[in-house]
Amino acid sequence: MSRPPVTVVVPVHGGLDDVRRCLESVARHHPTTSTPFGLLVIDDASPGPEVRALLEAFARDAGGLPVEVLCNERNLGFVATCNRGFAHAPGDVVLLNSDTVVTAGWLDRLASAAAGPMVATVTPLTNSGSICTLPAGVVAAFDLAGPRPRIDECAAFVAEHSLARRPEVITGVGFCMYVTRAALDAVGYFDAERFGAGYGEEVDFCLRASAAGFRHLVEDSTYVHHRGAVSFGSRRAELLARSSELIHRRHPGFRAANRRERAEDPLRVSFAALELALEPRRPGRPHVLQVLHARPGEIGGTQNHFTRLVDALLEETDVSVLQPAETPGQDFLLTTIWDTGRGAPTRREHLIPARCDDGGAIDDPGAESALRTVLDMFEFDAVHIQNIFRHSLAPLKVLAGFPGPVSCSVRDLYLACPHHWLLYRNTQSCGIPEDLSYCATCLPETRGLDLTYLERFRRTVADRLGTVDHWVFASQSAADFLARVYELPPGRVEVIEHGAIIDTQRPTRVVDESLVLDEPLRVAHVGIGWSKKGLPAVNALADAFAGTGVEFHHFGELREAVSEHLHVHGRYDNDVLPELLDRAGIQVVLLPGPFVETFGHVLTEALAAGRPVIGSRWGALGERIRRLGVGWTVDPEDVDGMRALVERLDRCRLEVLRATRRAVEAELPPVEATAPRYAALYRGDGSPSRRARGAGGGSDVDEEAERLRRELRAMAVAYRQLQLEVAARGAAPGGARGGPAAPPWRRLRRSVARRGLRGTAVAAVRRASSVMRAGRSHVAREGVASAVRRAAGRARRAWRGRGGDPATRASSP
Amino acid sequence: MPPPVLALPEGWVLDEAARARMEHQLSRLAGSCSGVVAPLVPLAPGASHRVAAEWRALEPLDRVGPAGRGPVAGAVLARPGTAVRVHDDGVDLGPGVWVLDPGAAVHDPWRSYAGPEDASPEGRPPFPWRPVVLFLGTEDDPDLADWCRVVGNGLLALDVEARIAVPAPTGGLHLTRPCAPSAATVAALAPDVVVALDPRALEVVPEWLGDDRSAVVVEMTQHTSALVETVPWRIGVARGRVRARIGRGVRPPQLADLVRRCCAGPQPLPPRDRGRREGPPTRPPRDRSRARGALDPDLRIVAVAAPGRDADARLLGLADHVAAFGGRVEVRGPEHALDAEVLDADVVVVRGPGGTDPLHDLAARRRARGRATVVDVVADDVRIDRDGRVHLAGALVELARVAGAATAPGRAVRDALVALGVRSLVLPVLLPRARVEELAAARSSGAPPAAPVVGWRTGGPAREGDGEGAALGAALADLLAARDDLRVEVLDGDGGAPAGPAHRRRTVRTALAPADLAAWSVQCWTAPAAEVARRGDLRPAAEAQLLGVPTVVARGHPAVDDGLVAGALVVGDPQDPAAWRRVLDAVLASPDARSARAAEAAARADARYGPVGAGALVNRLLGWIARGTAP
Repeated sequence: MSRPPVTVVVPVHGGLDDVRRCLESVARHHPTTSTPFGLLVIDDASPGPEVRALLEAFARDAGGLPVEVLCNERNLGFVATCNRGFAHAPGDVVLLNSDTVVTAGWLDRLASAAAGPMVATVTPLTNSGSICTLPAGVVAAFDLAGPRPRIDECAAFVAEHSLARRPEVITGVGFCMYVTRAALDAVGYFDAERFGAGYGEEVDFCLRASAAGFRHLVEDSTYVHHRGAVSFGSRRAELLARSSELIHRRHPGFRAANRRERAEDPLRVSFAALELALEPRRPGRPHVLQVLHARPGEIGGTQNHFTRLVDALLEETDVSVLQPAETPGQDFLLTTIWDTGRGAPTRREHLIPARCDDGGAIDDPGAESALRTVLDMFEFDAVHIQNIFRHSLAPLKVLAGFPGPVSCSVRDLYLACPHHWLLYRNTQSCGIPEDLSYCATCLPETRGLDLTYLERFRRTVADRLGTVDHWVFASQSAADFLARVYELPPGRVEVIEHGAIIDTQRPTRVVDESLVLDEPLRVAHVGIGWSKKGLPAVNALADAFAGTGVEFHHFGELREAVSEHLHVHGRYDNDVLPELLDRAGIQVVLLPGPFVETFGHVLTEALAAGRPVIGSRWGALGERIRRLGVGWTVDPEDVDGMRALVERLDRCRLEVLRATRRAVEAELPPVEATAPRYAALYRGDGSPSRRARGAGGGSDVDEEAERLRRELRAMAVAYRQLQLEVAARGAAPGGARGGPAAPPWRRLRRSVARRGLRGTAVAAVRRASSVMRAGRSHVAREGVASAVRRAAGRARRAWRGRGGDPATRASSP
Repeated sequence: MPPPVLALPEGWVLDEAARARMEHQLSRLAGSCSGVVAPLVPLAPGASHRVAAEWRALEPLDRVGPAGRGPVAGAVLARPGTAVRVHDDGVDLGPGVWVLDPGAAVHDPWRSYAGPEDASPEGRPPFPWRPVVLFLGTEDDPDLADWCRVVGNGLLALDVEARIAVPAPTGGLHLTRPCAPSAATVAALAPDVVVALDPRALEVVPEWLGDDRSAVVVEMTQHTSALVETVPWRIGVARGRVRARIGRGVRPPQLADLVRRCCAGPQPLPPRDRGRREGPPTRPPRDRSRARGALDPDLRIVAVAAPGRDADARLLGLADHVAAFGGRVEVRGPEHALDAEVLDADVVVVRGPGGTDPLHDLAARRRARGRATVVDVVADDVRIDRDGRVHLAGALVELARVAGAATAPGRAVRDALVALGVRSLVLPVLLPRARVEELAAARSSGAPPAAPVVGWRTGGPAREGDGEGAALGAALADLLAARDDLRVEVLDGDGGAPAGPAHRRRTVRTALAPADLAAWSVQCWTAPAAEVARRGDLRPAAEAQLLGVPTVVARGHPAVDDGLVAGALVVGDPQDPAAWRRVLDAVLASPDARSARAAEAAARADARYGPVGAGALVNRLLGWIARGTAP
């Protein structure tokens, strides 16, 4: 049975110019609207003859648009007039205020959204319409509040850049509200008796519909202009107050729900995408998503390193950062740092509504949702998980389908064990024992977890290892520790030392022989003062050397008790640590903690001060000390051994001098020096040492062949994406009718273009995508797929012509 | 001065550590000896020449004895021009004063030893950082034994301590003395890596290693290739301690990389259960914010100043921070230099032009009693010429030599004193605690300036030929023209006319209260670097920075050497206005940039001059003094 056409109902009461603009806009877009509809204009006894004359003339000259004009003999009021329209229309209704202007594709998209199950109302975005009001930046950009608003431009912008999320809201907004016949049949029309004067009637209707199980959507890729506040002029405030009271009495929960909705803002992400689209990134620059564990404002080695790395990457790359927001248990924060052509990068922050659990779930739904949202907002070229901690393992699941390179830095060994300190009962380095009875003892004490959780955790990680293209470690030992638990493909392991996060060019970085040879031996423990970093051993040493002339100092925050013989300096700023050590006459830095470091920024800071280090033999500290000869290694469990070493160093200052020279001479490249390696990972270049070069390595033919190979891989990805999109559309109720034009096309075109596809391949993809974009007809799955297949075939033939291997898997979509 | 000459019989080995010690002895005994002898000694079983040298280096430096003339079995480091002759078995010493240093030793790597003995604990390095790898074999295999010798010698050059424990070591050049393959050897050496040379060794090594958590095993295969293959140590797949397999073709660099990698973990054995660590101890954390010295609260420091040298900022700052430790500083005139209470003071700090008998007498008497006297060198004692060379009055230097120690206002003066043979420590002008608090209060109470203000501290009247001042004046004129929100304030205490054209937004001040100084966004300090170095007074920068005003100075300024001024605020070419302009533009680029520089400057100043930094320096001073008077 065919559905009746939609009826666009425009209640009119005066406002001649507004009415004219409104009706003309409806008529203008009728020819390009595929949804069958008719226009019903109801004159609610407008004063003067002008309006009626206008309506009659319009009805005569409406072209192909079916127009019916009804006139109320007396003024019934807005609500009753709407009800007359509801009653008169055979099917779905769009209530359209007479002070609105519609735009291209408006009705098709509203109708498409309304076709979903149990939808009562659909409201578009606007410049003046409660929760559907565009952000101020967008309003200003298109001068929507001014005398000459750029309405069509704005509509095109919204359609192009919208994420088409169609968020659900508590109520629709009446300036332009698509109302389904199903909802009208179920709950009736507006309550004219109570809300007859206007305001609140649509809220009441929507709440009644919600109570009956219906939903209300915002069609966030459609813009309808609304002059607003015309209908009731000076009586607006009075009517608003009255209706608010009426609503509250009838629907007591509405106020709280409304407050909650405004706080959470279901349109937040949609609006963020539009605001960001106002200042688009400069084309041609890669866009990389960085997933960070730290909250804004948290201080630590990872954060300092990350900040400097991003600053270095910004020269060639645009960066967006996803991290938990400031307050635990709330939202995620997305920060975009883009080159928008203004000189300095433009930085914007947006909250992503997804509750950050932080509670140790294997897959935190909030983290998963936040990442999916962000991936939906932009087309990233690469993703780099700087630290997966606080995101649970969800990113490894979400990114499994990401087409670009995924890098994951292993800054701590959380992936090896949820107790990422790897300290058995918080006392000694566990070494990740094979015998899980140790874990069964340790995990409940330290993390409140059990062995079952550990096994499930590790199984989950193992299953998802393939998501990551580049596992990045700051030391070989960190990779070796993780290899204790998982089999990492050798070709996917990258060792990139972090680099120095402080300035290493310092006057203090000289060999001061007088200090080393001629002053009491002063040993400094640097870092947080607690068991994890070896404070008990430091205390024991301070006690053992009391009165001998050998001094022990501590720099950093203290979290546990200290020996009375320890010189306490308090917290310090990393940037001035070398000066602090110099001032205090420190000759040696002591880092005896049982915690296995994956890099050891403090070691770098000590070397920047020109001080050798006594460090744990395990992990990156031992690795770097042995490789550079910049100190000595100790077993964190062997305090007697540490004492013997310090005694010997006091007796043999020439050995301290030797190590000091090595410390001063050690090369300490800055973080910025590592940026090119990361940039290469983001490009998907892979490790240069492992990439096999073709015959003649680097010749033009080889480069061309490589380019074509990349194109085919990208075509295969694009083809798969299109398949999924078409399948999804085909499965939706109503088939492929209408549908959001922008997102699949936009995603596809950009992802394809960015991969450097050219010529016939781009043309073919463009053609295929324009078919989808038009959405006019039911596009056969094969039709789209065949278009892409033809394009892929052309590219493959071109590659073969260059001597490419026809058996390459990537060439077969 | 020509370098000393090493007389070393051919083929013998003198480790770098021993050489360095001999050089140090020669320097320490300057003028009183012709050369230092390192005796020829055998290696302990399982020791390398390097480890042997390190154990010997633990001997105190002053435990040298006379070495007579004539032939000695050893090596000699001799001053140029002394008579030394090298022969196969040692060195002949000519006329001169020679000392024998038991803390240095030389070895004959061709020496053969009787049948291998169990390793000595002295086979293990006293200063652990080079990994110890033990080649352990239980079968008599001469080829393999010799292979171990060659590879082991190669590893030593790569900072890996190789040891050989085989039943029948081969002859030849051994940089490390072989030892017996036994449990005792393994226990003594506690190797980081054991290379099991044969199946039997592979079988016994776990037992011999016992519960050593760290040692790993590398299996020698029959491959002749340069095989280096890591064995998976993944849970469920690992084979105990075995981490890798190697072939006989492996080269020392490959093996060294493997050994170092194996040392870093993960540990092959699980942890030893020592029980749970309870929560934080009941004693609350003592997060005190000052460095605490083990000071005697009755510590008396007496400062004796010559006429005209009254207590000044140097003394005031020092006295205040000593008082913070519980000690006290008293000031006396030189007429009281020989008073009993001065002679008996714990520490005496003297100032004077030198050549003053009472001060000399004071220093000499106190030294005889083992009491510390320190000469405080101040600006008036120092002249720095145009080339930056430091000149000190001869009498002052003599006084400092008698006293045995001197504090210097800055690094340049300290280095000059050290070059003259005087122990010296830098002691800058410290800010009293009350002053630091006053500045901190002024910083926190003031609102950030709405509009940027560039301060210029000239450090005195306009100087002829002051290219730096002229360049900065020109840069500031440019800035004023480019930015109509900018003001310039010139602080010129001596009232001289500063360089640069006048401007309605440029004012000259002769003094500034802290609150006014805090309103500056940045200050440029153009006092002559030599003058600042002479005075050792960085308070103009320190105080401004404590107020949150970053300081810009020229390259080579003492404030840079001190670490007070960050590198980004140093003008590379101070004669170039554009260079000043670049630095200032970066600081003034935005409120965020200014704020970041302000925070950085305050942190640097606090680290050096705040209570903790100053307290640390006083602690250091007292420790340095104590060491100088230790018997």
